Amino acid sequence: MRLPHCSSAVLLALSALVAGCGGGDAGTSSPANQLSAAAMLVGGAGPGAMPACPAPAHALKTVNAVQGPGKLSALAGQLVSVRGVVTGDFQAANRLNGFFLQQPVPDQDGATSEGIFVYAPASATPVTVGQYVQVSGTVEEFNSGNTDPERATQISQLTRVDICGSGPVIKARKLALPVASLAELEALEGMLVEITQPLTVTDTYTLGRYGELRLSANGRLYQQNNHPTLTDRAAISDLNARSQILLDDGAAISNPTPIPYLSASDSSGTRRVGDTVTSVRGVLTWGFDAWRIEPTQAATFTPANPRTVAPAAVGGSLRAGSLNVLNYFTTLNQRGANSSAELARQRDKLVTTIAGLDADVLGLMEIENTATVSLADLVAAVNAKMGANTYALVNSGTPGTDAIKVAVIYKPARVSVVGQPQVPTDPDFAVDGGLRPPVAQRFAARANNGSFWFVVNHLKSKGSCPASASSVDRDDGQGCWNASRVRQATALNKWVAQLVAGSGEADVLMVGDFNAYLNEDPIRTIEAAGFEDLLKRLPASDRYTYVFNGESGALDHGLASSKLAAQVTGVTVWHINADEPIALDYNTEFKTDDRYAVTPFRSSDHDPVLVGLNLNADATIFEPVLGATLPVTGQAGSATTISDISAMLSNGAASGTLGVDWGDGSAVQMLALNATTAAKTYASAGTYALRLQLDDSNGKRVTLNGSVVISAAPAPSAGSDVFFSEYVEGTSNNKAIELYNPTTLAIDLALYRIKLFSNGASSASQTFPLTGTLAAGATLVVYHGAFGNPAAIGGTKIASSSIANFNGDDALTLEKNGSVIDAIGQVGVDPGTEWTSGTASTLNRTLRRKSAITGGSIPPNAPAFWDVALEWNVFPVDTFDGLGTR
Amino acid sequence: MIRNPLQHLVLAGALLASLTGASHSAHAAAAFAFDDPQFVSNSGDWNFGINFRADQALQVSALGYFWDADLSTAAHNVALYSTDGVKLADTTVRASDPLSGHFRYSPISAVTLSAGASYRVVGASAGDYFFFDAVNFSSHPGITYLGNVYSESNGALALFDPLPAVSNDTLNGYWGPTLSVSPVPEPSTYALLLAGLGLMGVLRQARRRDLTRWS
Repeated sequence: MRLPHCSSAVLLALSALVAGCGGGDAGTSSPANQLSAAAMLVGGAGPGAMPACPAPAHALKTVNAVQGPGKLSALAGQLVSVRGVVTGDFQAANRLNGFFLQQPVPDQDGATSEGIFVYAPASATPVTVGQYVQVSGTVEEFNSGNTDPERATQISQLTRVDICGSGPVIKARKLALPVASLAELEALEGMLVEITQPLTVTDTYTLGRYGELRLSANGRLYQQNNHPTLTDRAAISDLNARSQILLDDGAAISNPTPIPYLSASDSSGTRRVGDTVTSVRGVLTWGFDAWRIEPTQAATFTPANPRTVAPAAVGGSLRAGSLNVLNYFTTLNQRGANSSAELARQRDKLVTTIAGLDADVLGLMEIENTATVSLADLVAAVNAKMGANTYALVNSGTPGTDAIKVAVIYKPARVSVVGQPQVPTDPDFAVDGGLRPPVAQRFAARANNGSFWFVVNHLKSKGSCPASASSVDRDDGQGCWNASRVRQATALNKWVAQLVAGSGEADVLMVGDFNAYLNEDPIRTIEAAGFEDLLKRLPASDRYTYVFNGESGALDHGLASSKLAAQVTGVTVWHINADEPIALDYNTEFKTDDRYAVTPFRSSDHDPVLVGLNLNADATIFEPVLGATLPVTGQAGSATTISDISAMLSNGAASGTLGVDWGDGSAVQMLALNATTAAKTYASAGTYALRLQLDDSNGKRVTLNGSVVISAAPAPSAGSDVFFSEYVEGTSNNKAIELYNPTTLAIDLALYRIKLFSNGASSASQTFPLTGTLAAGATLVVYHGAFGNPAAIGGTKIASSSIANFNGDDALTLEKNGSVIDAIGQVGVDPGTEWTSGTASTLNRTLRRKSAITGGSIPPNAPAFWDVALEWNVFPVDTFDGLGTR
Repeated sequence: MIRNPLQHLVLAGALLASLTGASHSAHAAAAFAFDDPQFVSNSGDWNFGINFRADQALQVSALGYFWDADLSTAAHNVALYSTDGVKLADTTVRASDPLSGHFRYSPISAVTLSAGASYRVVGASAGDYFFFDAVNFSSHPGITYLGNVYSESNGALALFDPLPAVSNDTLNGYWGPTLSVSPVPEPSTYALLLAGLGLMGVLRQARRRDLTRWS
């Protein structure tokens, strides 16, 4: 068979080689291209000559000239004609609305690609793989993603498609991961590639939504703070970026039906992270912020990480577990189910999961924060499956302020509760104005009375980052809010130490979603307090409970006190969730192809953790325990508070009473057994003896005694005296403090002075006595002498570069007759750079007292948390327009 | 893609040494190397010839033909000619012959190439795959690539004459045929080789004596 001929005149033209025999302008002048073309100057009848194409409609360019060496084409927007062999046909309905062309002859410039996508929706001239075609249209950079720096170059708005004949066979470029640099991929954009090494599924998050799988080289990818072998975080992150590629489904539609790449066509089908893939072959392209392969042949999957029907054995006589239930809300349309049908699907999957875990005590995260409604609903469903009263719940009320809480359920046939559930009051558990405290319950094994503290946690999430770029809680390589999680972990250590000291029980198991990977600060903080992260007993590659952004890692942990660690018989993570596609979960949105099944698989987004315990026997009767922080000072007319009360009956006691004698002759005040605080307002100054007493039905009694000195009541009341109404901590010397007289009378300022306490000092560095009078409803602004534009300040104003000289970590007080009546910041405390709460901060902000505030107040003494956002509205740095008006 | 052609040469050499039976030389190497082809064609039926010069005395122990691991199927007649048209060797490269780099090789009785002389290796495409426009082309250090020629064929291997119907470029050529070469052993090497063979003979005799004694 002879090849189609070209005219001899054209044969001698350099352009004939690259462009085929139709003539025209090769469109490139690079020496490499000329060299390449010369190599092919063999005559139209010669072996491998391209079929003849009609004269091009526009300037004839090579594909590599259109692609160019950079990310974006220099010819964007121009009309061109290009020629090449069709390597990928995605013209069918619901595919990519086009096809890929590849110029057979490479240009020998490694930086330029020889392939390109042709956008041809409903083209009148459909093409097939292997044809040599000439396409005429406009060069376009198609931007599909949010941050699409590698936009895909394509030919669109076609004016003409010519099928010239049959082309040579394009060989797939062999691509090996990890690539040396991502530029290697840019040079292959639009070209046929194949990956001969086995790859691993590392992410299935968008499988159901967009028909994509993320694949990686050398096994699944691990989060940089959770890597089995490497420790250099930046190097891990860089290696991960170079080790992955998306396998797309050759379609640009959402919710593909059927979902591609699942292992079966019915509801038993899955595709797990850890499965392996071979024969990945297709066209490499960029879209939706990722390099992806549009397959031209089916890849071969091996279920290398199969489902397990039950968690691995952990041994021991007691099983303790941890499970994040992915927002179990019986109230619909909140964070969880949006319909009763979804709730039923969610419930059924969780029931099979809890039954499969078969834990004797189980900590749950993300239960709706109602007293018992959602928790009782779930427990009832579990008992309906496992038998009446198999599980009971611990009622810890509605701890904290979050919409979700942690909770504890247990098998009453296996363990008994000892005392009341415990919830800490330490404000250090609060973050960003929200509080989601841990819950502790002491349990004793029915078998041998062996007892332990079970502490369930859900530390602050890594997401919902703080708005302020200067916040200590911005992402530091360990996600956002890491500093807050460390504070929570420190508070947790402190609180658990109190539980241990108060009860004499040093066997402690902490579980939960710590929102921190194995090698992150919060876990290290808890480890430093003597706890063992039990997940580190697992093989390094098995230490994960969550997959985020294609990277596996452990957010959920079991942490044993040193005394309990010796009684731990085993630990496992049951990988039923993190490895499974989200497309299999209970939700009904985006489920054109609904593969829901009542199985544990993808019942949540986190994998559960299970710990085996062989507890040492304990004495039959535990003494009752009473703990509290008694006040030592107070003020007549104001509440004096006993805090941190924890009362536990001796075990077996059916009931008890808790009371406080305030020592002022009044009747004993009776408290609920689970009360954490008690308050009293003394009528007059004096020293009073305090007694807190617990009696139980075993005849056991425990008392705490103290004494409190009550000082005389302060004279003024809120709304009746001058207070700080505005605080400006601006750039450079733009600093000012505003005072306001809320009363209906003029006030003689000679009685008042402002003090500045710099950098945590306990004594004032500056004192500024005030003079004159302040009219009713008037303001007085004290501003720095180098304030940029003093004319912007309204009302009465005084310059003082000594007192208006603060930078975020300094406290200010307002004194009247030597008594502090208002303050900003905690005197004697250095907060580092600033006091902060949410977007409110004493640094680089203007703070304006909320309109409801009518008088001064003094922040609590450290270490209590001063929430600057409680009384102050926050405005951006250098906001001056409120100075001089209240 | 392997960007380093030397890597191919070395790999191919090691393989060739084992597959061509050149036991007296461990240096049999591919005459030509290049990156993986980026496209292949089976359009037409051709005889391809590669012209080259031996810059040193070389021994040819195998002739080869391009083989695409995914696509190639056919057997190819390959022959080696001197410039005066004398056929020095021929063979048929089959799918069962060992694959090394981009070629399968079929052994021949050793032919010695003279230093400074030019030769041509010719192969028939038999309607099967060939490629051209090689990337990162290189040749054996003892060989200079001179150019290539082709003519249409009817499926059988054409003779040397009148093969040069069309001359191709002097750079990359059509592939096609190839050969593997090794240095001609120096006389001293022969002496050593003979000494070694002699020693083997002694050993063999000794063993035979042993066997005799034990029998």
